[in-house]
Amino acid sequence: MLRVVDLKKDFTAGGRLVQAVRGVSFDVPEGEFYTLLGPSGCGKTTSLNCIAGLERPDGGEITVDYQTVYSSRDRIVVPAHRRGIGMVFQSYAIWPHMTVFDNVAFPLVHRRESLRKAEVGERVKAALSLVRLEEFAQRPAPFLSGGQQQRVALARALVQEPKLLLLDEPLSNLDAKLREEMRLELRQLVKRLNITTIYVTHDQVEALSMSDRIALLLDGSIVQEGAPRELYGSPKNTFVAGFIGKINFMQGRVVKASANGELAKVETAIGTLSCHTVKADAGEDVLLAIRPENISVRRERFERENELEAVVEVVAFMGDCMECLMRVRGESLRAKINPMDDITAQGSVYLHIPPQHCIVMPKVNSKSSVNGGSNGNVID
Amino acid sequence: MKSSTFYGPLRLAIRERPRLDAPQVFAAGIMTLLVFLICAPLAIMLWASVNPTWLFDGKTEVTVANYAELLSEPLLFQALLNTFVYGLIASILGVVLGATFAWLLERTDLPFKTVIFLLLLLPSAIPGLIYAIAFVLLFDTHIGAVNIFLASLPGARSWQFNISSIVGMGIVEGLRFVPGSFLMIAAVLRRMNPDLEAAANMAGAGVGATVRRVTLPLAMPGVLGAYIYYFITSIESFEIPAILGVPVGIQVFATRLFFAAKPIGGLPRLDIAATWGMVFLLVSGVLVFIYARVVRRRESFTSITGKGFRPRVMALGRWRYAALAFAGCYFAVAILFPLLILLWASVQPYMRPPSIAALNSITFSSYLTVWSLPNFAFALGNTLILIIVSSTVTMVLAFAVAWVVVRSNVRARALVDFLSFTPHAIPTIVMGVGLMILFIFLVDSLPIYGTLWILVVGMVVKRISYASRVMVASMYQIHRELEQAAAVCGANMFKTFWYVTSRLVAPALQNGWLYTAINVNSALTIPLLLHTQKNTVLPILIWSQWQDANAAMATTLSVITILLTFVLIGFLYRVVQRVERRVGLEIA
Repeated sequence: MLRVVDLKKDFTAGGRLVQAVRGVSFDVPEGEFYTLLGPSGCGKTTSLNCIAGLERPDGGEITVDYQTVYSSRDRIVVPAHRRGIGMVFQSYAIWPHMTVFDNVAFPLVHRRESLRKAEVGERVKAALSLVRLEEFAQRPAPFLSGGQQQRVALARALVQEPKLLLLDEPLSNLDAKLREEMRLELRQLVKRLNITTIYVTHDQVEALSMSDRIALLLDGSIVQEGAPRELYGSPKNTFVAGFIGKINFMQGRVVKASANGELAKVETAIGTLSCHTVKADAGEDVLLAIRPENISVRRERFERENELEAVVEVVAFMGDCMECLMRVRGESLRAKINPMDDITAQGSVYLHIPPQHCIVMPKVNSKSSVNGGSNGNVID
Repeated sequence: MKSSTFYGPLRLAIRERPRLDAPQVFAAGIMTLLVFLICAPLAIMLWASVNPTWLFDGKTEVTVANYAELLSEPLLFQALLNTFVYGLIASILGVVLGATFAWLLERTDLPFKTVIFLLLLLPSAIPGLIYAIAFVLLFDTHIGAVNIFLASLPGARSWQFNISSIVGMGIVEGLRFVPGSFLMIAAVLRRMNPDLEAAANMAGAGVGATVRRVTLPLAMPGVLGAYIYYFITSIESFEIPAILGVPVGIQVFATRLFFAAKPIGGLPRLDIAATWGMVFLLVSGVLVFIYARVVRRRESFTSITGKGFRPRVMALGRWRYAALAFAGCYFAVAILFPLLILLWASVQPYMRPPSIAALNSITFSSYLTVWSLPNFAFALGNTLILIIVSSTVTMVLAFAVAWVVVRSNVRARALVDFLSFTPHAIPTIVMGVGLMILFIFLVDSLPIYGTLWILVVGMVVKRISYASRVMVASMYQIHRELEQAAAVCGANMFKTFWYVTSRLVAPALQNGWLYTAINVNSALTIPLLLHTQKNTVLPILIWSQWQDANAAMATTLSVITILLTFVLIGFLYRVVQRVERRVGLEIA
């Protein structure tokens, strides 16, 4: 449905050339919810604007529904207003001088072949009912709340029944509660209409909860692409591991490689741990990553593999969970446990880390060494 | 999906063309126009000043003879000295009064603030020419109503004041600066954190000590900026020195330049005028440079942030009556007396001071006979055309400049921005002389010299600085995504511009249009300089009636001009209110 090949875009900022997008490629099949995730300045919005036609790439090829809309080789550039793509902007971009109806009707009225008035009215009504704003049609745009503006923007993007929908951080200007509601609603809506959706966000929770697949971008390139579980469970490197959720890092050395269904053994500062999937040979230096919620904590012994003794230093009650900062053989480790557990600070406890949750990754990683290098680090 | 709009790349794709695209061509056009309007007059003036006979016989022989002659001219130094003293008095008076009112309205519990605020802004509606005439009618040594009244009182003769002096000119000009300097300094005070003053209060300082030790030093850069701004404005002012000073032989730089370009008898020496113009440009250029430095330093002043503060007011206590009395005196002298004397003079067959006896001779005949002036209807029509055409052209050009500066990615956009701002730093009369020489030179290829259109050009050049600032600011406030959304919705560049961009800047366009119109309506300098029989406008008529000593007719025309201004201001006020209501909605 959407095919992006080797997309490149440079900017000159303050006389310096900045490569905003350096050769990004991806393929999105019809009906998929695909997310471009990354920190600010990673090139995700630039990529989206290139797909929309708002910015002209410096190289590559973009195909929407088997039609080439941009190709540097064939020198094809289809302007934005002829691509027929729906888009919701971060600021919503609701025109303040029009009513809700006029805003939503705009794509129908101002395209090349115009529709009959009655049909425009019908389709605007249909689009507004999709976002449950039928009664607001005649309201001037400045009279809308943030959430309502967001819905109008969505209705405007959907009214021309596009095959491709682009969403540029559409939830970032909503308050936390509304944002959570809209996540599910938005996904449900586009899934029901079977619209291929490209979603841009810097919020990993949004990406994980809404997407079919995620591409994590850094400095204009895709670092890892895959289903939410894949990115969460098997991050390729420390950047991916740290960007998607919190994680404990520690340095380690493989003492026994995995073979014949037997678990590998990795020696770390907190002890030797058994790990499931290790693509490393014995004697190799690696990084071990453990998510805080995969660590079980209790006062009694587990009497199982990968069991450690620890001292609780700080306990923070968060409502839906409890965060513990612990010390294991002088190294600090963070765990996320049930809020009802009977764990208090300064207590001595036992930890259990299931081998399938011990993520082993190659040690050399220049990009994110800032965060991932040292022992016992936690990245938010 | 029946309706999804899709076009194959072969049929409709726009193939990349190298380099030149529409925005760049457009920007190049705007830049050429600005260079022609702003740089060409100055360049030709410089050329004429170093080639004394070029304008007559086309001979080019570069010489600095004109400059040497001017420098050996005692008149130059007399004019410089007069200009300096006059500017000093006017700017000090304007800024001190403005600062006092700004402090009273922003920082104290003065009663009737709204009324005082509106009255403070009122003098800006009275054109300088008319203001000067009103003060002659009040304070002339022979016909001035106040002076005649003082002469009738025993022992008060020594209180008489001669308005036709440097001090008098300075005071009249200074009063005209009060609205502007008040707004400038009030803005500075509003951005100043009142906690700083409160802290001084808490530390034991009284009102006087707080103002002296904290408020003033903090506001000083802003006040200094306003001061230099008005000093520059006063030295380029022409109307007031021309009405008050010239008849008694007091010449300032601007009037010298005017009479070099348009001598009362004999032929103009445009090369001499050009030389005066270049020297004038140099002087004002140096001042503008200083102003830019001061203002930039002000912006780096840390205590003044862009944050809005809830004002904390000082209780004036018994001093409030003194403050009200002060405001009352100011309004009487600056607004009430001038307006009343204009009305009075316009209903008297010949000028006589207000008295019970003179009430009998009140006649409104001048408001009828004004129509029988040979060129009143012509001048009124010209004025309306001039207002409408030049305001419209100015705003269209300003919109184009704003689009290039804010929206295009043309590399030269900073230059366009700078160019559109430069006329602000060029004295009006210098610009006028430049345009005069330019269009006399171009009389065969672009024959607008002596027509109404040269006035339009002059007005557009004069007003483009302010108008382009308004439009650039307004364009910056329009989120780019509002336009991108239209593109994504299938609107092409023209439709996006027409249905989205132009609608969103409409309030700023209207606002700027009316403000330009008000200023065009009251401008005298350029029309007078470029005046011929064919392009008479109302201010010219007032000027010539006044020069012919026909006070009744001059004041009648003045009253008509002021009424026209009030009508425009009424519209402006309504537009501003509508915009505020809309902004209010967006916040709600």
